[in-house]
Amino acid sequence: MLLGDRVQVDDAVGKVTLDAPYRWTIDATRDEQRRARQAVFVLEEPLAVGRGATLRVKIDQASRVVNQGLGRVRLSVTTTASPLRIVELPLRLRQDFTTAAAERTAKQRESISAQFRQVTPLLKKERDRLAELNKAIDDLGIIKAPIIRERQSTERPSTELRVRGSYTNRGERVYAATPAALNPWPANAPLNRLGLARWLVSAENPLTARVMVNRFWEQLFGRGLVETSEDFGRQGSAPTHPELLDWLAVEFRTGGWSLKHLLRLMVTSATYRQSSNFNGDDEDPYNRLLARGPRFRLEAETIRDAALLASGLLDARVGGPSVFPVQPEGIWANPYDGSSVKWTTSTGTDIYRRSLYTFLRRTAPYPMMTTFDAPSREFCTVRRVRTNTPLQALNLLNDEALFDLARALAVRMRGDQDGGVAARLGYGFRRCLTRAPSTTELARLERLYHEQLEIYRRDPAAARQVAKGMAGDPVEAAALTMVANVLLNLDEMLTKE
Amino acid sequence: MKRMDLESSLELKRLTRRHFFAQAGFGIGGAALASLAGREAQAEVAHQLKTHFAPKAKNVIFLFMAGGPSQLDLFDPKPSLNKYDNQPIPAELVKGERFAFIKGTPLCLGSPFRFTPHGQSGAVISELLPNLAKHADELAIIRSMHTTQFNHAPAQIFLNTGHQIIGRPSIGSWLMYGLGSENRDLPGFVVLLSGAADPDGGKALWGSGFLPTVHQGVEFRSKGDPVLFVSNPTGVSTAARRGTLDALRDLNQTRRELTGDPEVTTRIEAYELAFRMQTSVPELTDISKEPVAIQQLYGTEPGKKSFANNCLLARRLVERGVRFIQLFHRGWDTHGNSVGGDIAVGLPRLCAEIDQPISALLTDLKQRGLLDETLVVWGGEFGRTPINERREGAMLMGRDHHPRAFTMWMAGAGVKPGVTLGETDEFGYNIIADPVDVHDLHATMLHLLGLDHTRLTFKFQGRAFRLTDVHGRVQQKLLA
Repeated sequence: MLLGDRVQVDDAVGKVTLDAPYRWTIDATRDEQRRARQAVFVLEEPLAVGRGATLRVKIDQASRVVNQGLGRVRLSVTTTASPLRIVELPLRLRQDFTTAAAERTAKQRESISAQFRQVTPLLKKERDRLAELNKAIDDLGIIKAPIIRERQSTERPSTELRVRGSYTNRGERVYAATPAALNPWPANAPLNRLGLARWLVSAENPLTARVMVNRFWEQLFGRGLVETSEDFGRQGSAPTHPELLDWLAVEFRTGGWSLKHLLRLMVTSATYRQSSNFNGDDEDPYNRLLARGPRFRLEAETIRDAALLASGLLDARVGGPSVFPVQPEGIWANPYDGSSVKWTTSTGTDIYRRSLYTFLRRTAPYPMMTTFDAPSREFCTVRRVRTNTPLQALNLLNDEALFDLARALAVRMRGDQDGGVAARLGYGFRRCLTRAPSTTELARLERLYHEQLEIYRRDPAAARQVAKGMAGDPVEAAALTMVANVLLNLDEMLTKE
Repeated sequence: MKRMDLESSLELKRLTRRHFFAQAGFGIGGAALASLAGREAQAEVAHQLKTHFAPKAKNVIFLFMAGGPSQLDLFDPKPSLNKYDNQPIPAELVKGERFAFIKGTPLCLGSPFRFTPHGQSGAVISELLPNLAKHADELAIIRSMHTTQFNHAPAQIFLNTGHQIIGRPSIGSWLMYGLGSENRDLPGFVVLLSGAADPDGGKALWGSGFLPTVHQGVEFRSKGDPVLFVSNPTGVSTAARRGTLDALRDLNQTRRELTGDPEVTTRIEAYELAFRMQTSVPELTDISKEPVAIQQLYGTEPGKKSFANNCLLARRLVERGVRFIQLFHRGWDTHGNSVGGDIAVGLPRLCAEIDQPISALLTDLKQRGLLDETLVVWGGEFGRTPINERREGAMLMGRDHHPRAFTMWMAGAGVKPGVTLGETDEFGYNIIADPVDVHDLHATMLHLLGLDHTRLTFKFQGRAFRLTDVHGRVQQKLLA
């Protein structure tokens, strides 16, 4: 008896051991391997049997391993001369082919035609061309993203109450509606998203405009007119200037919801343009009464962006996929970091893109972000808390990625050759703080510069390390880099005032 | 200074910026430091206001065995399981059960290890932990822990934050928020990692969630900087750094005088503190200066990433008043689908890595009088099945994830020594007495630190959040 010379495992040919007695194993220990398979056994010599004879086939399931045997076996016998052709046909088409041509449904005819088009030599040229075009489309790298669309329903959206939050304990059926305490649903508005949008911006609804106005106020002034910008309910804090809040809200709404108009109104106001200095009085440390201009620490992203801008390295391109700036090793070390999720530092100026584009993985965020109070994005966070810790100082002083920005700033400062040391230091100061240094400030920077010059003159090897990648005298470059490091750490650099 | 109760002090934490600027460093916490009074007065108030009632423990060392250690081979012996070894487990136990990996008819897997009672308490501990067994009379063993999660990351996140989805503050962060730190120069919540890999839940396991990030755990790394960015950039000496900080201080001081903003002073302080950390952290993490006898006790290898090193480091941190120290040791995921994960080969290897160091830690804490004020907690995110997993026909001994029953233990401050709480059925499959869930564990831990878990709240998104949500029962049977 000839051993079946191949075992067709759906579309892949399985391995066959040809020693006798004939052994054949299917690995079906995983769910995805459990599917229909077929094996064809061809006899060495054709068997001649009479009509009505019984053929006995014996299958020994000898594997000791669970899940490696056959299940739901079906046997059939054929007298055809080329039995192996049957396994060249995809299993799912078998039914279609064995149906008599006249009895095939339209669907069956179509799948047979489709199979024909896949294999016929007549269409090879077209198939190749199609593959080429498809590849060209893929090469464009168009990002595919699912979009959310409302599925129109004639039914009113509803759900059952879960009594005391227990999902097994169901209460009455409730229907989509807006809170009764707020303005009523506008007459004639449809009970869908359009209606909700109309309700949100209706003149009867003061909340939408108030909340928006308050958020922009918070962004500009460091705290909202309602301090709990995420909570305008009874447990939130009361507005410090209710009339102002209302006036701004109405102005925003009647001004066609123009953010530009709103922001211009705020930033050109006398209140915003006040000096942020304390003027000696400390009776209102929180500046609730707005007797001075805003003064508060910048947010995580802004601090990095400001340093990028001052160093002249900022790549201000808008949009595109997230980038991977330099981060210390080991931040992404996780048990399942096999192949797909690796922090591969971006190339070119991508590492200097705005921090907004920094890739964020919630279980291992970019260290500087968390250190400076950026939310980890598990919750929708309206208001960030601002803290002040030594870890932030260490981050800004020593992070190699930020120290590189000090080097770049130093390079810029050296570019200003004409006026000597004072001009260079002054230029760096202006790049960071957009103002000229006072005489005291400049004198202090000069002192620092000369001290550092002295330190690195005595240790040229260290100077070369600090001035890594910088042209010219390494001692001078190192000293300037250290000054730049100080400039990027100044309180005024990190503070909006 | 007027005495206030904790509620009103927490009320003050409406997260106004000045609150956090009032004091630089790690020393801020629940203790009503929003007051703009002088620091010493604050510290005094802080001391009075810290807890809801007298605490038993000041510090916590949480030895987290990431991966899920096998309770059936360590703390919960099951003679029946050995009797039915390699036979089908009663069908009613596993009817409708969902496993991470087990397929087909589940067969029992007895433990190949010997269990003996130890000490006066007679606590039963496996031969895999001979050194820990010497401390049997100090341990409170909980055989009836259970969780709702059966995959590593969510289970670890649940056990560390009280919720299976990332975003809630970790227990260490809650303690920092509630109690603050005893040491102004070091983070109050330190994380030490060892083992085959970092834990599955990632940094969310010690994240501060919606609490201010100042409360998050700070990872002390065994490679590179012990604390991120604590070393100067290459080529910058201490003298050079000091020079820059002097200039920075002078320039900021000028700004302080002009603007009158006290925040600038806080920033100056933060930079000075950072400079001190540049010396204190490397000094702290350098365990090579410890006496030889101590090194031998722990079995440390200075310079390596090891659990033993971390145990010694934990003691040094406790000595310095660090509030919450969490060690993660990954590798307990003994599925038996590789030799390393084999119960007979891999598990003894893992136990050897932790047995001596934990025993040394308990001895060392005790001899320094620190065990009386330190709570030591040991355990993983879930247990392991009484069933041999035999993944893909593997011939090794392996156990799948088992959330229904697992073992943890506590020792030290306020813990009733020598008790064994809870009981599982004859197969170790289900709990039959004194179940303790994750929230109960948290409630009990907070209780030992003097905090009422129902009153330690933080308002976020319009609702007061708790570590224990609406659950948690303090386990009185575990308390001394």
